[in-house]
Amino acid sequence: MVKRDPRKRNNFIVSWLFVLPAVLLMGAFLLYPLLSALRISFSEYNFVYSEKPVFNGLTNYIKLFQDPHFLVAFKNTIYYTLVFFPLFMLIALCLALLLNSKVKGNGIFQTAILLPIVVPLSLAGIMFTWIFSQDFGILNHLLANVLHLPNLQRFWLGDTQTAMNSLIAVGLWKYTGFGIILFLSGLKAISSDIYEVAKVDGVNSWQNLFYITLPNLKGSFSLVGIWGIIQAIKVYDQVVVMTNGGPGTSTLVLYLYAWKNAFSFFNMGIGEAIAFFTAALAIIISVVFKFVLKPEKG
Amino acid sequence: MSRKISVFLIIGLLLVMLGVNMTSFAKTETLKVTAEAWYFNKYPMEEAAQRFQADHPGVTFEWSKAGDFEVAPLMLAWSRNRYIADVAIVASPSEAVAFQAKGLLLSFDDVLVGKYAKDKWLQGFLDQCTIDGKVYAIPSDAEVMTLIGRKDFAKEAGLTDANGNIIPAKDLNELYSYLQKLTVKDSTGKTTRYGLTVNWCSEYMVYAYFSGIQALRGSIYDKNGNLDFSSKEALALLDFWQKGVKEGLISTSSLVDHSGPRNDMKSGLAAILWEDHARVIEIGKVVGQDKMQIVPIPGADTNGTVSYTMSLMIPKNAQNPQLAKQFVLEQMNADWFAHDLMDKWGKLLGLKANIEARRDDPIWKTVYSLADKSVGLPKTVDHAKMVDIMTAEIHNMLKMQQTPEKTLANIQKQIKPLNLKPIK
Repeated sequence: MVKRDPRKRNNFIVSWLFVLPAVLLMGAFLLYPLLSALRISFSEYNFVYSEKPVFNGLTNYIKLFQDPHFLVAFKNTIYYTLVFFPLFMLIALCLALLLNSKVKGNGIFQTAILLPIVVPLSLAGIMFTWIFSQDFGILNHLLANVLHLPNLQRFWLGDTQTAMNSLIAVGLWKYTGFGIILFLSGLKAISSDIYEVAKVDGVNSWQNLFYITLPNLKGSFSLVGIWGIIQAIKVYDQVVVMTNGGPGTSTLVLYLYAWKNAFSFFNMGIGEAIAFFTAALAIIISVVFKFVLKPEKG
Repeated sequence: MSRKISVFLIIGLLLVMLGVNMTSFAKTETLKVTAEAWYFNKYPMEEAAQRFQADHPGVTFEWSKAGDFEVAPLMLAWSRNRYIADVAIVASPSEAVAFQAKGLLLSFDDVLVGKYAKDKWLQGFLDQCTIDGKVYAIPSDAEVMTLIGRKDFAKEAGLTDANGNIIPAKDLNELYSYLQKLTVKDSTGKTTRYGLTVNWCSEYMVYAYFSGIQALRGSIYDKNGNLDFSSKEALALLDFWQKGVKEGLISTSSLVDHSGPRNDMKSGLAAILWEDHARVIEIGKVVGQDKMQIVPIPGADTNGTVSYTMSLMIPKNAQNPQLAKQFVLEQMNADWFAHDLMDKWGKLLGLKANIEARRDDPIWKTVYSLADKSVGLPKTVDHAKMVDIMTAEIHNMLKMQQTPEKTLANIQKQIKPLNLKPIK
């Protein structure tokens, strides 16, 4: 008969006691609401007019795909992600490389690039609403009166062709700084020895970039990429502040439509279903991205 | 000696306890008022509280400032029987319907007597606060949809009478000819001044549309009692809007910015505004009140227009409901409060007497006449969804992506499954 070590048992209990407060808090404020929301997503529940949620299986999820506004929101969110994500990665990487190369005035560049991080997106939204204004905006003013390109003037937020791209521009302005920080930390982690050895071997700058820097940034790519995907799919703030989904439904995105269903139409069941669908979408795309960047074995 | 000390201590303790009890006789009652934060900055709530305190000594006030659009969380809290406020100031009576559907509101019927009797209120406003024949909210911050014109621009275009007042257009065709005369374009064909700017931003979209329908045909309902999306007037209205936008006579600044139209007016970029009457004060402060005129939407002088209002409500779990009702009626519907709202912001309260005192002023005379003939939108379960559908479809039409006929057909198709049966 194997005798249990009482010290091990005590350690087990003590370690659980240490994590118990965190587990309880997470359970109460994260897990319980999450499970409760998941249950509601499978229920018919208008919280004003229904007594209580009534389980209706997959009906809410099926209804989503019969709702033209949901389909538009889905399409718009995918468009936002497809345009935002590569631009975000490319700009963040290029600027991180630039800042890492110790150019003159680096400190000023760093401050300028990182400043948008501390500006709340809602505030940035108001600021850009004015910048993009058709009649009073500085962008149209610059195009017409400084650059003398009046033909390029647009009703940036009021035109279905340009509204979503304007929102993407705001998203890039806001989030690229954070991507730069993550890439910079990856760049700093690459040992200078590798570059010195490469220099001895006569490797040029492009070869440095493609054979040393980028392969060594795979971890950062994964982190920045997943973060970027999540920011793109959960786009909400600037849309609410700047266009509220308009004109028409040209900038309606999934989270905005979830909010509308939950807190404007009071249809919690549908609202939760959209929220879980959006979360699932973010997870799937992130997993695919992670899989694509999987390090080669051997 | 020690006995003496003990006696002293006991007597002292008793006195202290008595003193504590005496203070509880001077009972203070607290009225907690909740509203979106801007409401407290905009309106003279502090003064209202002080005046009420003078009449009701011992009453204290607590302001509970909520964020914008925080009605739903309020409702959730109330429905769990939590005390949030004695007076709640909520965006629109259609939300009162949602609260009342959960049985969360107290009726004002018991206090609507004497000078506050139901016939002393503007009917269009009070109707919006009435559910099943009982008044569950008191109108506040009310507005009527109308046209607001720049007299100086109209004079230049030859659209004024001998007194310099704008001659109201009789129908949409005449209004269209006004816009042609008021619009100014530069040598490249770009509009530098629009004849008209309309607020088409979500909820305003619905007000703008139905104010046009009410003015043109005297009712917002079709012959089956449903909201009208099929009449020839509905088609004419959408046609008028689309044609005006296409030809650069009507600004589309409101498509994504609800402040766009008023900014158009303040900057002189538009000559006429189609929105609520209250903007006349705000715009007048910038361009000069003498240049502003309220002009009825064609037909509104006889058929009326659409009005809307915020609402003052008493939650069922209020701790001082009677005192709250007194505060709402005595101070928040007093002449001084009403005139402060009118003079500074152009907003109306519901009591006729408050506005009648200002009928010598041409602006208020027209507003009163319109308000008296105004109707509210029906309170319906799926109102917000209808707003969403209308906004999307009419925006698509204004972006020339579909015809007015197609727009009306799309709206009809999409609202079919909705519950838009008016809750009386």
